Amino acid sequence: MSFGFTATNNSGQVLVSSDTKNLHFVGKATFNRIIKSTSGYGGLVQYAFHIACNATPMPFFTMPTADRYAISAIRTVSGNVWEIELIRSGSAIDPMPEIYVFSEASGVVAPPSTNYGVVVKGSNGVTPMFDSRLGPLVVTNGFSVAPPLNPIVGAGTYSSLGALLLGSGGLDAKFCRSDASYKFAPNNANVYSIGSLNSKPIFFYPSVAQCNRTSKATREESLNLIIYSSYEYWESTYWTFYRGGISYSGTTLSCGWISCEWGCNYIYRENDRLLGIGIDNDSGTGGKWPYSNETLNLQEVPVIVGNGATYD
Amino acid sequence: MSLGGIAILNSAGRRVYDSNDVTWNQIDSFVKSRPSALGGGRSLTRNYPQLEGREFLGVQVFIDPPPLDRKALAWNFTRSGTSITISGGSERALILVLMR
Repeated sequence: MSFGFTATNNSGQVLVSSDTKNLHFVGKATFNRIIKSTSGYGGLVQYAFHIACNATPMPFFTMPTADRYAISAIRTVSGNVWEIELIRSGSAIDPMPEIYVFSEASGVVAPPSTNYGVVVKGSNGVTPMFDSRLGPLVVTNGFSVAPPLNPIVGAGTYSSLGALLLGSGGLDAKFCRSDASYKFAPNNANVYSIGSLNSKPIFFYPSVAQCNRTSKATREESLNLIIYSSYEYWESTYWTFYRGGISYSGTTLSCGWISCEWGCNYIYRENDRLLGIGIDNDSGTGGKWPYSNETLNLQEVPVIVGNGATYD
Repeated sequence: MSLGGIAILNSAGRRVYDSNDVTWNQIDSFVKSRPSALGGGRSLTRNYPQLEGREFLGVQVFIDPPPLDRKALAWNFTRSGTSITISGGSERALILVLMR
């Protein structure tokens, strides 16, 4: 480099450079609303947080409980206001995670509160690449994680009484009448030993992995008399759509699944015959249909960890 | 701090950065749109001279909720020298290109 400034750390990695943009603390995103929540299917709370930022935000979150968490979407809503969606397993809304937002220096809306510090500008002499007054991001840890292929180990936890009465794993084949929430609660995760983190770890983890699982219940009933016969068939396909999420406890980081959508599709057919002649044929379908019964985007995703206490 | 290192303090004398720290710096951020029905936009290659001799990290965050009526594929990052190619995805996503 013939122009500019570069500082590296003891490992030779770039700390500050006039060729790259450090990430700086924009502020904590404020809670806006609950988009969706349920206590079934392992639980889901889908939060929306808002932050004013003049550049692409990079949100880090705290994990105040052992639930699984993930950033599920980021989008602009108006002007420089961004909406950050965060999903969480379980049914507890509180304590809420805190969202620490970082971006390049030009994205920080609030001006620095002091003239004391170091500012590095780009080659145009204008664009701030680093500003020590704006809380530049220090990464304390980094990991790569992925959830397991299947969100559920075993056959789910639907009641044995239901299984006895209804068959097909306890799900009703007729018109999606069962509450399948217990059967689809995710209980599988990959566990990573990560050692001790800082006093207030904040995590960047975007949810990329997705999974859909279905459970089909079928039932047939027939009656055959000399002059009359009838045949009826029911089929209900229950499904749940999951997205990847992480949890943190002590010295372990787990990557598993969070239920985000669920539904059921049913079909039925009926055929009655009198003296061998069809007198009543009927069929129908209803409900939502899942696209596929598979797991997507299972590649490892980076988890970047900082210390929230640095920015409080 | 090792000899020849750097330490940046704030006005209160609190350390902001020193040579023991680690960070990821941003060299690009943009929205990767969905591929068109005619197949355009299935991949994107950009060259970043700043990556010469440096580590690279690509991250993505979906902008929209994943659809339930088709596959929502994530984007893959491939590095060749200082060029980064993003391909294989099907959804709108925020892309951050980081280095250190």
